[in-house]
Amino acid sequence: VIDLGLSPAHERLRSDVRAAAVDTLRPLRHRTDADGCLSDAVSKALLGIDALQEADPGQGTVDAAAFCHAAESLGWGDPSIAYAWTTTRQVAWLLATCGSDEQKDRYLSRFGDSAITPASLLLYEGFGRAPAELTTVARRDGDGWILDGEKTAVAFAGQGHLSVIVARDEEGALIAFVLDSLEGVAFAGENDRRIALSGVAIASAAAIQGLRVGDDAVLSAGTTLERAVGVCRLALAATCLGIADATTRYAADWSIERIAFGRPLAGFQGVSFVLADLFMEIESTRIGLGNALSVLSATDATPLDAGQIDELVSPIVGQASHLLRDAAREGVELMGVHGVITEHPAELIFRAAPLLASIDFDPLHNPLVVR
Amino acid sequence: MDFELSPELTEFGRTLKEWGVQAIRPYARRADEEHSLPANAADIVDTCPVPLPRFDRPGSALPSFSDGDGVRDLVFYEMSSYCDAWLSEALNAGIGHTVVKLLGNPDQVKKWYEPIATRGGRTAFGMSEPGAGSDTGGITTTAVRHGDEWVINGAKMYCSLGAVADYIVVFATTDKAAGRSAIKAFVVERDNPGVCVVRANEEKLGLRCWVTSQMAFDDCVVPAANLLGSAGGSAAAASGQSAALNALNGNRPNVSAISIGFAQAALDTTTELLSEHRGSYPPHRWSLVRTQLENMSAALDRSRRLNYVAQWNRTYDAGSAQRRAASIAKAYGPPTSERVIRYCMQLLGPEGTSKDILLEKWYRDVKILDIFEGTGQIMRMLISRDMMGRAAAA
Repeated sequence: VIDLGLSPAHERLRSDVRAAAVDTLRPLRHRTDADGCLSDAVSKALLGIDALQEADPGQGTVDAAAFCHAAESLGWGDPSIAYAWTTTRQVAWLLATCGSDEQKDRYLSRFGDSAITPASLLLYEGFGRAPAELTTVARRDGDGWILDGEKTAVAFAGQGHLSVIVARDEEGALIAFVLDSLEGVAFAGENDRRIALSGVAIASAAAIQGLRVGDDAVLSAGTTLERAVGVCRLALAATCLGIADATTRYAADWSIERIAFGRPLAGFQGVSFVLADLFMEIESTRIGLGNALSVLSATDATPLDAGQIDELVSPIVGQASHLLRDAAREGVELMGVHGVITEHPAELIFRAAPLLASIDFDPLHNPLVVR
Repeated sequence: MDFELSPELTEFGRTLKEWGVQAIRPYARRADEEHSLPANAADIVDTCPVPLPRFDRPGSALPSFSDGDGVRDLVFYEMSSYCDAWLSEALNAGIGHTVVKLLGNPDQVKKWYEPIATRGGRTAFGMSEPGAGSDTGGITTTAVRHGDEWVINGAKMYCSLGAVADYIVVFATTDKAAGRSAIKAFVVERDNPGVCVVRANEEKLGLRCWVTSQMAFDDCVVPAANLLGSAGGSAAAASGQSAALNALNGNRPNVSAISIGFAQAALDTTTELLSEHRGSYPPHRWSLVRTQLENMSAALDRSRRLNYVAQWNRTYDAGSAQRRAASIAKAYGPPTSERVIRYCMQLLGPEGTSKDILLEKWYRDVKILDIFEGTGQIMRMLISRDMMGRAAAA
């Protein structure tokens, strides 16, 4: 039966987290950007958002839609904080959905220590590779495994209290491991200063060479893991969506208040149609995201193989990435010189957009668009 | 049509580019982070093997070529931004004195234009305000006549060189009820009482070493003779606003050329880095990436050709074809360049966003080029009106 509405709980989650993101997290953006780290004030502010705790996979909540609603709504605050929360909760999601009881007891409790528990996800490999094409390999070695490969876009590199590495086994099936530390993994670029997201210590590369891990580190595999990885990718897309929505709304509000040539900017089609196109794309992306989450969550329905999950998820990831780039651009453009000065969030979002949009980037789904 | 540059201009551009990559680019990051030019900027520029137009070297100028000054300027601006944006700022004399030349009477030109042209110096242009950007008719800075003086009150933002210029050409309304025709240009010496530098250089996304100032004018009294065109000036001075906007029109293809310099630098850097990772791509994706690189190069060539046409029209046709071509060039080039740089960053992944390389800086630098000297929306409005009359593009 078709049901396109949100539950009251999800509606409340979205509205509460979004309001808190705008009111309490957005004002922290300058400090986060300047400090290059996420301060105690950030953790305190996040912990003060009750609705966020209820959706948090780090607290053991297994509700893919709630996870993504929270990630999207946090995007209305500060991109760095939103990404930090999302990427650490990607790790939590894999544990909450694929971990054994023992693994959950041991690792999920760490997410209670702080709202931003440093946790690293070693999933992305760059070069457009979707999970079905990962080249990091896990080989059986007695009672353990040997891992080899190279990852990119690893947040909290070298700082992680726990990490999950996603690879493929010798038969080509997806397999994931939870680890306390990543000794033996050589990071590159984790200390680089970047255009944005400066509090998240993103490594450009993580070389995994002959890393030996025990059997007790293996998470549940099969379709459960493939679906969980799909949800993780959609959570990042949701963050991009929320940030895009926020900067579009900010520009729209500006266009209502700003008077030029005798009327509000919004009174000009050259402005309002650009915003309308963005709002249309935001809606389309949100619907696509919801649909993909619905399919991934319907575990009783027709089984999906890894390729089908990629085909379901990758276009939404690409769409959200493209949307963020466009919204970030227009968010600055529509505000004129006010858009490029740091008083307004559009400037920071413009900087964050190419980094967020490059993490799970596939040129097949994100073609170049120039005239 | 023949878009081939003369061998002399080609060589000029190549020499400037090769020198700049070695001499200018190493200082790019520091200039960005410190929001200022290198302390030894003049010494560095002294080493350039080709003549440059320098505000601190009276009589210096770009050489002439058979291609014409307009096309030469395009090559100069593209190559200088390819090296880095700080080179332009190190040379920048501002445009206040060119407005004086355009609007001023002979005495004013002699007093304020000729010294800058002959002895050097820098001049500022104060038009944008916190509440008035594209709509210059919305300027609220006022100029009130009291006897032989004008009293100016108001605020300006994004005032190029405002904090360091010898003088600022300030646009103000002499009668709010009279609309655009009452907007006039005044020469205001920077050390004039009532001139306040609120913020010497704004905190901004890119082009951080380009000085753009927030200025306040608080009961700033200037002689009546500082109103440009006040006696015996050009007819254009009857509307200082429209004359100033026409002056901007001629520079729009150059702004596009600056954006192409950034984008070409990004594309060259990306191509080099990607080729090191070629083996990591699945074949079908590498084929796509290679095609995208070629498409980006082709897009930049399209931008260049539009610029050439605009400057050609500027030289040989001062009419509406020139205005339209300049608007098209400005509307097309900067956003195309921005998309190219952004896509390069995505192709490189997080590596492309590191401050260890300059892509992220070029991405920040290029954005304002789609805004100042006429936003993309204003350019489209101008094109629409040129093609369809004033009823278009409401």
